[in-house]
Amino acid sequence: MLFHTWTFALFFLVFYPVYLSVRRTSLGIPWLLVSSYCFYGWWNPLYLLLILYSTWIDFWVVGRMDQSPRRRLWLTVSLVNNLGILVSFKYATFLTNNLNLALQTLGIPYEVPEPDVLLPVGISFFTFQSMSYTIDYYRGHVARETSFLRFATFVSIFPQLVAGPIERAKHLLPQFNRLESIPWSRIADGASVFVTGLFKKVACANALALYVDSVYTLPENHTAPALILATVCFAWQIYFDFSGYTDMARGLARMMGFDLSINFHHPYLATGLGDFWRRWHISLSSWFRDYVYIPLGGSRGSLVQTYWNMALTLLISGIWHGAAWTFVAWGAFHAVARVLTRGMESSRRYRDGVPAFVKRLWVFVLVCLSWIFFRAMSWEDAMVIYRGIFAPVSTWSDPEFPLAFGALILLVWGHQWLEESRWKTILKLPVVRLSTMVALLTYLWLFCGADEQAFIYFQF
Amino acid sequence: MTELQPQPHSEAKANSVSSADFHGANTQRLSGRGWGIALLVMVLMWTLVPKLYTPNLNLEHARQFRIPFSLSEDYSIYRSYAEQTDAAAGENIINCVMLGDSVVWGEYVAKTDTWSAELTRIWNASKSENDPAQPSIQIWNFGLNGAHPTALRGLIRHHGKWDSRTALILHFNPLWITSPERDLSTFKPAPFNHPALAPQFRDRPKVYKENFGERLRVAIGQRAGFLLWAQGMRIRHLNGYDWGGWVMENPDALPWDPEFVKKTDEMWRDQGIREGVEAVSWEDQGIPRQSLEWVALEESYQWSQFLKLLDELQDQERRTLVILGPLNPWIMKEADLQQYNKILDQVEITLTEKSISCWRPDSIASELYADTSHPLAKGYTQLAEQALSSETWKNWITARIP
Repeated sequence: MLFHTWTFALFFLVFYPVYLSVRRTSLGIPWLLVSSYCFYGWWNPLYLLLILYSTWIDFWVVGRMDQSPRRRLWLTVSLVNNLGILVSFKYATFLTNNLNLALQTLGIPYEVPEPDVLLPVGISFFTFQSMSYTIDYYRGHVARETSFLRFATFVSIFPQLVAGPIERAKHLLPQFNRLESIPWSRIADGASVFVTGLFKKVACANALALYVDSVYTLPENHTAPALILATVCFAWQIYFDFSGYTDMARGLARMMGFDLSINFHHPYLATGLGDFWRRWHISLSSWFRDYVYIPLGGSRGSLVQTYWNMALTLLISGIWHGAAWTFVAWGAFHAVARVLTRGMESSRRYRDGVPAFVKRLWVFVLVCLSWIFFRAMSWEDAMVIYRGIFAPVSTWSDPEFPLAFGALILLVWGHQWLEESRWKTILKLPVVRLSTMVALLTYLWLFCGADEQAFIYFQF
Repeated sequence: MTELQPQPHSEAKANSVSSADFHGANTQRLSGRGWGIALLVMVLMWTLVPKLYTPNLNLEHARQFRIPFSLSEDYSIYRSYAEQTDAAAGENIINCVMLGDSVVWGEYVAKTDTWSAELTRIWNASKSENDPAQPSIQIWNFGLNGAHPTALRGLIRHHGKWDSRTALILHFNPLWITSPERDLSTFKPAPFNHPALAPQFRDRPKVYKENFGERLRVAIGQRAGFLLWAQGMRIRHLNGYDWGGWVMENPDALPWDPEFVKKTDEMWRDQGIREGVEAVSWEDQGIPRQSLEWVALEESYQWSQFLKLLDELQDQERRTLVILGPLNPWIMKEADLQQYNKILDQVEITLTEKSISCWRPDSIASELYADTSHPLAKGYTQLAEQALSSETWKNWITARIP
């Protein structure tokens, strides 16, 4: 069930009034859980078995940890289970294909049968969320949740179930313990953010996708201008798509009385790659920081060790995104780029001497170059695109780039810049806010037809 | 990846999201009062804009109007057309609308030569000659390309907003029961005309396998006038695309460029007429007779939908006349012709039992059929002349006269 469909509207129309009336009773959590399972099961009821299993194991493991001195063993059980689920469902085909390729290269006449598994939507998100609870409990950062219903709701609460933000138990779980009444201001806040997210997805991401798809489907048919513009468009498409989803998720949760973490903060205004990762998919970045980078040693060791930890974390982040070499390459690109630019970014000359505009452009170009791996259909396509962009251009043929898309990107960039500038008070004027909201709703009404394109991050 | 550094943005902190921190990138926060005003503005726009910006079909001047082929799926035009016909009919005129598929629309003829145009012309000419005191009639062409009986039912239910005095002439084209595919009664999913006019939930065609979300969207779109209007605008001005799709098609243009305004104007002209078909008999063309896979009336989905439509019209006490056929008999094998006549007999009996007026014209000359069911211009004239001499027809029309 996608947020920008009438099916979801109908679901929410049934769910929300009942939720508001039972929220502060003993039926509040069960209703939320049942609704979340309906939401998730709408894709495929079989998914429910997996999420129930994953939830139950982590709930049970923490219970065992609580009573047993062998806490590390139980933590290992949870990690193996969660990572095992991920590997089985997400990476099995990728691993099998590569194994078969290796066997073929070695001349061994055997082929491992390809597993026929369905990739459950949002598996990477809910396993990470569930896993963070057991790790945090092991570390003593969070108290044990004694109610299975509350824990299951924490894992599966529908606004953020399939694409985050990946919530930590210490942030979200306590919110289930104090279900207070929801003031109008929260509902208004939530609705504002929801509409903004809806606009980002339906009006911006889906429109840009048309140009990106037209170029990336057959990159060999295009020359540098089209390839560059399509890559820039993809950078904004994925931002609109994912931050749009996050806004809708946070808006809905807000209307339901919960606060979810911010996931994006003007990432294309970042002045360094480190800054970019503090602004892009923040809940995942901080997850990897807390559960991978820091356990590896973080920046406490030598410079080489720090760089190694950083690079490894980024590489794992790439693999987390998808079971393909292009995602590994995307992670590796960021790892190398971060290692190469970290020293420069922390230098006084870069910080104070280079104009912010230049730094932002530099980071944007780097990020765009990395997105090529992320979006390309295959390794070969990615290479075609890189070659097309960097090869000497013989013909600057018309890229048939819609100027309206360029205007849209500049408009949003300008809006973000304004939000971070001293002129931001203009955006807070009631008349500006009201007219912007009316303009968004009018645009959605007039110019956006039926388009149920799924979110990019659902595949992860 | 993020390092252990103080985070410069308060928004990046996972914990304790205050109201000030809550709004992420590019969000516009509205208070409850702000939302009240915004929604009021939107409701006003949803209500007023479609009323203010409705295409004027100029029916007072062009009495032989029909929905242009390229706008066949713009049902908002159909709705406007229905609303404007009552006003355009004028005093002392019997106002009728003729509904059906492309046989009524006039697939091979100009809009002045269609069945409804000929009926209007011949009846009015005859009454001026024989009985000038009788009121004139105005039969509006509400034919819609590809409108099978199921679509016709949806069209009338959702968009047929006529005055209660307006009478309906429904054409039942037996073509729609000449195969299970046309009857929409096969289980194999298949595309068909006007799915948006078919029932989306209960009673939907077996071939219609669209997912729940899509069907829900269609059902809401057909009922919410402001959504239907916006969809119509996109069909007329953005070539059926949303904004993104349109700018992809026209990367350097804006919709108000004169070239596109001209394109929109062109949509209103008759498009989709099949031209160049000459009046040659089917025997002379040497086309062999065909076998048809008739669907029994008791099992026919299209017929069941047509009957439901008639029941609904009876419930509304809408005066209705049903015209049956005629299909082109010159393409049918003998056995099929017998089957065809048997089916029409059965239809006639059923309608008579329901006290619904029906008229079954005779087949026209072989050379006047352009294909299985569409007459050429002279064919429509012959059919209209037949009507004039038909007692059923005359009784039905004159019953309107007080």
